[in-house]
Amino acid sequence: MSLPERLDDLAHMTGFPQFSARFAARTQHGLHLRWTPVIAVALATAGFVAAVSAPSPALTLGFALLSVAQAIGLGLSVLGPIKPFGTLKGVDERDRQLRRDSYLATFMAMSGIAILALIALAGFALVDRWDRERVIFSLPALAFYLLCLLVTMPTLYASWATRPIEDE
Amino acid sequence: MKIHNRIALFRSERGTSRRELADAVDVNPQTIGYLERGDYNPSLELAMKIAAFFDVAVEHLFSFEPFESVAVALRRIDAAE
Repeated sequence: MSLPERLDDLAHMTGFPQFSARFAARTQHGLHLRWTPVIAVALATAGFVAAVSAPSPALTLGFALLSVAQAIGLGLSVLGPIKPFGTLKGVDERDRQLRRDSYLATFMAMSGIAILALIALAGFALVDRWDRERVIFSLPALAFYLLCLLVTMPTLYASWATRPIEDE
Repeated sequence: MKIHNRIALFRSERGTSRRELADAVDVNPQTIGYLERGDYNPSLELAMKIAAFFDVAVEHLFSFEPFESVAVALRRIDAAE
């Protein structure tokens, strides 16, 4: 058996090729995941609030919740109705429009949330006299939170903006 | 602005499935479903491709005003005769 064939077998053993084949088959359909992104956004928001509201152990819990939300968000981008950038097969004009609208709504929400959160963090830090360490940890928490929104909100928008089409 | 269409009627008349029409105009079958349900307004290119597939003018398939139903059209023709 040649080296490329051995490598192919190894790749097959991971199960990823089978998953990719199933994914390619479902790109025609894209699941409407209405409540999963809501849960992910709620977890991320709770995580962000926990991470900035109090020092450890709430900080650790906050980052743990943000990590769970991020993991869910990454799954959404594979299974949800939005086809990933760079995918040409099975992407038509409606898919492109849905993707464009979803990301536009996401970026608008992220911009607003980022501005409000920065103002709120600065305000709390001044009024509540946060120590330096807490301020330092609150900024990566905000960045992580915005990253969670980036991977969850497009699916949230697309899943609620459209109703699934029944098969003939 | 909502664009009304008669794709479902033409498709039914010709016995064409969503998938056959979708393959002919190079979109996903779901997009045909969204078009028929009025949830998506097609681009000019897609509208012209669909009209060409059914061999009719674009305005016979798409309109800013709701299309007359078949029953109403038949009654109107009967009344005219």
